Amino acid sequence: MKNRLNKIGYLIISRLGQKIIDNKTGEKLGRALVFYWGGQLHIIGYTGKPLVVRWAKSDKLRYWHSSLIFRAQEEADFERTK
Amino acid sequence: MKEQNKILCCVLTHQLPNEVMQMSAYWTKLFPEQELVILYGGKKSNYDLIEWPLKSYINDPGLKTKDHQRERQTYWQVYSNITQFVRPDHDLVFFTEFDQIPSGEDSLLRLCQIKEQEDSDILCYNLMRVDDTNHPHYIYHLAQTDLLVQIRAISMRSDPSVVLTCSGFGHLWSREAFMKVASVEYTSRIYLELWFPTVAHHLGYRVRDVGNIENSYNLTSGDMTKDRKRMSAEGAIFVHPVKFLWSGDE
Repeated sequence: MKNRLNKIGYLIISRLGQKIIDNKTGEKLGRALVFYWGGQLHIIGYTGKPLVVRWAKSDKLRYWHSSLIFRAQEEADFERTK
Repeated sequence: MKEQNKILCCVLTHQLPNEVMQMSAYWTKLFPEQELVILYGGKKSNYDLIEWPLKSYINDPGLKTKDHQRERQTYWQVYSNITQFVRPDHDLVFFTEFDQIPSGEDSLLRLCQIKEQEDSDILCYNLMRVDDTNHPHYIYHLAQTDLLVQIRAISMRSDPSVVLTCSGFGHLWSREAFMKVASVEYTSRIYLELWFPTVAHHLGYRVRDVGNIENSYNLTSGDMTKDRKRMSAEGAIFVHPVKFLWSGDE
């Protein structure tokens, strides 16, 4: 029953959720319900690549607005150091 | 690349003795020149019935978890037991679980070729960098463990905050990297999918992914028993998870 509800929930969010875009590459990473509640920003039903959240840079100096952006974490490709 | 790498193949299972013997026969038929170690995590009475020269019983509550992710299942004892079988003439150590099935006689050779192309010390499946992200295992460990403190204590890297994850099956290791990583103990239990790639990275080894095509045949959920032959024909090197092959329910 729980699994079935999970599947239905994910299906609805994958169709109707807000698009999550990689701010660096423009790649669509998935969909999710994003909302603020209880002092936290909640990401519900997201199943794509792990997300990094950052403050967006701003070309203009504005005192009334700032925004958060998403991007995928970098690929695991590190040189040997031994 | 060497003409023929000497590989210690290690398979973790908890299945019934007759199923383990079928699996051993399959591996030996495909790779007669390599040695196969059976790591057994099932009942001790079943372990005693397994007639295989290279076998080891894993008696570790950290392995025998029910909710593997929430209880942070570990293969630390499994890896520690494998070290008893590793000899200086082994070039590589391949570790996997019973439900990852090699497609053919060239499966190990093809993995070795990818490892060589990637110039890696450890080749694994579904490798990702997850630090600073919403990856469920990462944020759970931040709350439940001192993962980052443990990593900082051993790290030889300029950035000690990097955390990697990979699937718990299908690890192809250089012998030196395997022995070194298997010797590192945790102070609080860390889920196996985070522990091994992260520790290997921070000890200075190069950890690389097997590639998207091969990953697409090696999933982390479901069952591919009925799809195994099709996937092998399509070019899969290994297929996972194939849960019912050895119980004859294919």
